[in-house]
Amino acid sequence: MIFHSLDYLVFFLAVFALYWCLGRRLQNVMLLAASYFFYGYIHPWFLIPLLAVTVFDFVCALGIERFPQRRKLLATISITASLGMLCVFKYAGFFVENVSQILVTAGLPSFTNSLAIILPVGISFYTFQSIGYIVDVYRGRVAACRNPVDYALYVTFFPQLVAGPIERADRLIGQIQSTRFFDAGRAQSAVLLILWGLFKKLVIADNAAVTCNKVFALSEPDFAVLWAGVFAFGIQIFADFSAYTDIARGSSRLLGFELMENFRNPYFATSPGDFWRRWHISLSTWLRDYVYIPLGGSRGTRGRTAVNLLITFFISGLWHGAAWNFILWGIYWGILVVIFRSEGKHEGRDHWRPLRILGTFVLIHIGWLLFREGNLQHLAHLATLSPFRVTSEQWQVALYLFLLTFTYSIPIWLHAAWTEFGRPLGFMQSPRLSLLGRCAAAAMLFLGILVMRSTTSSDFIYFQF
Amino acid sequence: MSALKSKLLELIVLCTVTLLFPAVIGRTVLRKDSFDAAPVAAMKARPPAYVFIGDSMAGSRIDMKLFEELSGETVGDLVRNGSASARWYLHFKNYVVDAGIRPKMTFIFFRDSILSDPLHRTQGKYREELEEAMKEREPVVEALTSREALARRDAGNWLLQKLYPVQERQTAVREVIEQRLLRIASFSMSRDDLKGSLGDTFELGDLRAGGPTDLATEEIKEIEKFDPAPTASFLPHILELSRKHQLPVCFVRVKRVQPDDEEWLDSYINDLRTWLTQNGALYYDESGDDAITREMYGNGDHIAEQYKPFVTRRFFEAVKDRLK
Repeated sequence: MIFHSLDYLVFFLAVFALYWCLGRRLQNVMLLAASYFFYGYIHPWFLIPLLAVTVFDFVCALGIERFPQRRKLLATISITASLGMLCVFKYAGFFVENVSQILVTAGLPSFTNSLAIILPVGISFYTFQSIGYIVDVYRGRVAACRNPVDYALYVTFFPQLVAGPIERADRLIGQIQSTRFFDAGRAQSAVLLILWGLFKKLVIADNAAVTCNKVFALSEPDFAVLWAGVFAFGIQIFADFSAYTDIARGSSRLLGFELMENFRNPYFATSPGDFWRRWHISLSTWLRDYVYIPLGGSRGTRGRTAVNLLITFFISGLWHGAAWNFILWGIYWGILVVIFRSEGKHEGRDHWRPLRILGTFVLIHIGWLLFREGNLQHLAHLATLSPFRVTSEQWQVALYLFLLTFTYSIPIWLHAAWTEFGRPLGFMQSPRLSLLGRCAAAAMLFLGILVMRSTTSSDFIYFQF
Repeated sequence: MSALKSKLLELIVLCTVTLLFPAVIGRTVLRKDSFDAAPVAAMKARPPAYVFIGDSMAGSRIDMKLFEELSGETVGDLVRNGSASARWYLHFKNYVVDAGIRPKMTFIFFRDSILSDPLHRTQGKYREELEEAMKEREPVVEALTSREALARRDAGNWLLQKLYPVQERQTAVREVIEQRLLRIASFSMSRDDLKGSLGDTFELGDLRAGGPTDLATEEIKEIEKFDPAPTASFLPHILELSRKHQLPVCFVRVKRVQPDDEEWLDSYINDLRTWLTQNGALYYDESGDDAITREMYGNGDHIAEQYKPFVTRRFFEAVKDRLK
């Protein structure tokens, strides 16, 4: 079920109405049932891997706590099983395809059929969330959850199941186990957050997607048009993914939960490291805590730290998808973060900040080209395009495409500037905003969705991961 | 009043204003009369012997100039990207029949079941494009694409359209934005030239084979049984016009890059062909042409630009006997 569908609206209203009529224990049971319905709505078999991870990790966590002398073994088994399942669904086809290619190159007989395994949506998200829990129990940071319903709800909670944020056990299980009260004030901010998310998805991301898809469908784009398309993708992916997070956070807030922030104006980052502190925060902090720090973090030599960073970003790339362009993208970010690591924090007034933001913005978009273009041969061709061969006519075409994307994205820039340089809570979430202001903002967002939304809407980009 | 009650009341006010404001504003927006008479003038200026109607499937297959050379006669181009049966009916009625044009043959290109799916490409952005070909009164189009017809197919969408008619201004809003931006971006050429350059940049022939696009990827609706009733599709209305004005029509089913081998389609196409030929129309199925191979396709079901002349010639060879 997708957030921007009538099905979800009906589903959520029914869940919301029933949910607040029940006591806490029944609320959790009901939310769990609703989450399974939400996830299995299109493909009921998707529930099988989800249930497998839930049951296995629930039992393993109890075992880790009960048999401290075997906790390492149990944690290893659990993590291996989770990663194994992820590998089968996500990477087996990629592995077989590449081995087959190597065999062909070596002149040996290859596999005639490649593996065609359908990837259950959100598998990377809930697998990482479950692994995080096992590691936390192993480290003694959280107690193993003894109630199977509570744990299953932690893994399955529908607003964040498919595309995050990847929640931590101490935050989410804590909320699941406590009593929740309906707060009409928070509900108002949740309604605005959902509308803002829908606006970002249907108006900004989907309109940018039209330009981006057209450009990336060209066999021979020129330099200017290509980068107008990359800019469109930059806007699309940010608006799309942050829209999902906003709708997830808004839906959760209406149910009395508070999910973590996943984005903090990433396009105002002043360095590659800063970008990763602002982009997909739940994944980057997960990788920091469960990969980078266990590898040794920055405690060793500079060389060792660089290797740790490269490994972490390689995993980040691989997490995004089983394709070489994602791996390249991960390595690209790893190298950038290593290179710019020496850039210290700038205390006080930083006169170079606008230039740093601009430079990082360009680096981010070079990364988006790697991320968006799955065909490596074509990617290599695109990398050779020269700005000196672009005609005046094509510069104007590119300028038009750039302006078109920019115009639709103006609300994002205004919102980002407001939160970056003004009030961190944002215009719509500000408690000081009057009822009239809230009504005007909500009505304009809804009107904008009705008259400015793209006629072609697609799934959220991060569903494929 | 307690703080809780006051917050609850505020929430109710917030939701009510949000839902009502666009509904109220939508009712004050008037419709414009937008019949585009330019094609009528073009047809009259150069009366065609053959008229082509269809969407980009026809556009990517038929090179109009080449067809003129091959046939030695004039050709009328009523092919519009993103069009479907409602617009094809309007093109035939308003730009051929009512315009007093008497072509020897009108070819209507279609894919699988689109011909008898009257609502296909009639809502949202397509609605205003459709209105360009509509005269003041179009009872057939109004009946077949009415909100009630939509309600039978998609109740949710129907409800949204009914509650928020402001959505009908989507295309107009987009048009305003695009025109303003064209003016800013065209620093050394006219707005129209820049629009033309945009069209040239994203021509179908320039798209990667098998590459990603939002073009022509809509699903073809599964129609279990072909229904010849005038309330089910525009087909009976097209044939009635054809009979009444003695203007022959040939329906051309295009070959798809990945033919749909569903059982329903075979029986549907059989019924459609039988009914069309029994009612005086000609029928040609490109799907049976083995000379059109997978390599000749560009994006989706479109033929790649370099194979367009080949496919035009194949088509001419296939129908030339029927043109006599």
